[in-house]
Amino acid sequence: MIYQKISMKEFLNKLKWRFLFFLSVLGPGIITAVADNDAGGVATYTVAAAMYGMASQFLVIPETFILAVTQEIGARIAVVTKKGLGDLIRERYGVSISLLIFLLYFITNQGVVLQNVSGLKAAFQLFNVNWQLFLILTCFFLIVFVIFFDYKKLQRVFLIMILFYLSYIFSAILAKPNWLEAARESFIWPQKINVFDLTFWFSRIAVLGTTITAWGQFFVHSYIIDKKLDVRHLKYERLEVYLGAFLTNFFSWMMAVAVTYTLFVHGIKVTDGYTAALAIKPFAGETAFLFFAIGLFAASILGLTIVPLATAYVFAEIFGYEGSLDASFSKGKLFYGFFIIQILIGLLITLFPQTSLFKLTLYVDFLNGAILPLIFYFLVKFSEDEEIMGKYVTSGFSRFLVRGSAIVISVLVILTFFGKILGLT
Amino acid sequence: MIYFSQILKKKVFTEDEIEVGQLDDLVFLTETTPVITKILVKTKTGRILIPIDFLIKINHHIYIRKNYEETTLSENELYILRNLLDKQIIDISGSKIVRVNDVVLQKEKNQWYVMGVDVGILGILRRLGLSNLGEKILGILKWRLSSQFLSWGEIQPLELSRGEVRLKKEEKKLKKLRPEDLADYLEQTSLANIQKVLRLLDEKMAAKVIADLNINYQIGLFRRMLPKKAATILELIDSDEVVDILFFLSKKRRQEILNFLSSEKRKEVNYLLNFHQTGKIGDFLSLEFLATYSSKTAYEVKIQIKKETADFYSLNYVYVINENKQLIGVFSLHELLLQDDTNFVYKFMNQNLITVYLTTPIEIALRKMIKYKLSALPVIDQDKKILGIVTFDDLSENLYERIFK
Repeated sequence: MIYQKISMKEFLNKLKWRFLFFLSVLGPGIITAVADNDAGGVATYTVAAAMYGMASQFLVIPETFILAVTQEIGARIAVVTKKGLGDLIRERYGVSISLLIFLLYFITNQGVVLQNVSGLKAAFQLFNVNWQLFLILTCFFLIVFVIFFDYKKLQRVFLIMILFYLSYIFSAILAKPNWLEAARESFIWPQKINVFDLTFWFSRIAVLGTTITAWGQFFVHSYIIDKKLDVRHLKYERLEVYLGAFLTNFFSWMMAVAVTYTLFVHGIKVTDGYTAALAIKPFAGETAFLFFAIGLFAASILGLTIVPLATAYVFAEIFGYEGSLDASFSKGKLFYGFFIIQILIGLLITLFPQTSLFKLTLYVDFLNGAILPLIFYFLVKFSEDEEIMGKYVTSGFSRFLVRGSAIVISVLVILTFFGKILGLT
Repeated sequence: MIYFSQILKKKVFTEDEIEVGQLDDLVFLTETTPVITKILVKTKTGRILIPIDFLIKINHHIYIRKNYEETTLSENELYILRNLLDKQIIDISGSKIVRVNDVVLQKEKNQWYVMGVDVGILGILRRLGLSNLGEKILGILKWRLSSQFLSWGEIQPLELSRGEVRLKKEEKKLKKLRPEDLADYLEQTSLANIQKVLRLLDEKMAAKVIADLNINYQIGLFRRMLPKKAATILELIDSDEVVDILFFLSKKRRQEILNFLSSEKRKEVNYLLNFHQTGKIGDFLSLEFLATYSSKTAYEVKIQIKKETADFYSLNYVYVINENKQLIGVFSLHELLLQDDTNFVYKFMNQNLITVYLTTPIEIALRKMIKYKLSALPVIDQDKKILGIVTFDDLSENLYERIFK
């Protein structure tokens, strides 16, 4: 008996250590994936769910799988080489290509930042406060936090912001959904709508397009490096990336549930997260509305911090400047500079109400669609290069998987854009 | 003086105007004077390496002798484009990592050599063919950019892992860096690269650098290293640290390395290793300790003791931490009582810390306690953050049980 007891204790001990080790890698995968559900994401999910109900989440399981695979490539390259995607592109493709990519990337991200500032504005309007004042204050504090907090503290803030996403679960429950039906529509086969309707597919692809982004691919990479993980963490980091992919789609699914059983069943169409939150109120009550608004607030804040950071990281990598959250302001001037500039530009444009965000979003999606296939090309190329990856090179079946996922996403993202141009979504 | 970016891709002709191809790269010797030794020319059929002796002149085009011969890369040689340009280097004088934007070449006494590198924005503009335009714009803005030039003596390539680079010579330049700093830089690169850089160092310096690396890297390195080489390096590292590293290697690997150690060291290490399997500090960790800041006065600490340690079983030491919760000092109650109330902690705290890790075998902790006559030791993590303490009582109790029961 005694022996058994000891082995049980040892087993639990082992498990405990494994768990602690897992916690030590926690961060990059989850934060990147969940931040993919930023303000722009929330808008797309809600509009699609109001239109097509839970069918807007049809095929969500394979989607999660593809997201996991593509994020894993970046994580693996980062852990093995300790180099950012920006570093590798500069070292392998020289100055002109890197500069071109950075310019495209900067503009794309600027657009995403803009989406998130306006998401934040919408959230403040929902809270019924003076949005101009709160917007300026929030941006100011964000900048201060990022400059003065080190990596560890900021990561804690990010993880706390993710907890706010839980509010989507509450607003989903308050919508009194038919869970079985929701699962059937999204996991098996949609019956509430005509699956062979082309416009439905464009809308469905748009949902996928907002989940998989150019900055997400760069960010998971840089962020892992700043966390200083190494090859020994690879197994756990992979797990973490997969968990992140699951979480992000879990939250967007909940969002869709909240919208479907309030707006879709009553046939109410909306145009963005703001109108959706307002429209939910009469059906699910004040609390559900509040939860929805809080979710939008958290999504905007997370996007507004992480996307400019993703820009700053890549700048530092490509041009060889200090680029770490642990760096002091004086040492990382240019790094923090790029972060600040993106937020300020976004803030200024949002403060002038006459700018057409709809058009801007269109251009952003176009650029994202244009740059993503390029990034996947680099990712696949680097991950299959034995010189770079050593024994961690992508090979065999996973090679097929990685290439397949990259191609599928590239095609879908381009389709999304054409869908938008033709006015199908 | 010319920039490498200005001659790259220039057409290469023989003296009788027959086109050979275009300049693809230059090869230089990594020595105190990095002389250009070979040129790489991209021809229609492939790339050929030609000794620099056949070079006649660099003008609008590059001219070489018509009876040129081909050669291969030898030891101590690096490519400029493939190994240096766009790569990260260590700026030794500035003690930071920067990226090479252009390479500066100089001709002296009929020999071309690498004078240094440009790490500034002008280097990037030049590469893009925009240096004139850039300077004009900046001129209008009354903002002058100077080239940020670093001479060859001030830099050290950080990455040596690309391609078949073989360097044999011991690098004197790296010796200018402090081992701790070099360890920090190396932790930013891959394990394979760390190995390559370590090979450039003499064993003593390598041992120092390895000792400063994070335990994960240490383990990774010794997993890959030849047992004999590993032993020579471990010989130069403190025995208890050696045990920490060896403990994480497989039994077979550990034995292989141990066989190469000197008998004295082996005896010591074996002795410590025997104990290593039996128990770890983690099992005896106690959180009954008091931490304070170095900016406090002796009086404030006494108040803190009264307030915070009333329910402690015992208290022998007060630990001093900084804002990042890293352990920076310690003093005993005796030392505290000897101080004037107004004296600051940082003035009397003991900065020479004896610490253990969670993975330290209890025998080593006990040995330290006995050697330094301490009744408790702080347990820290890789970040030097204090996790708790282990007391002599707890450890000796365990030992007693093992001996007598």
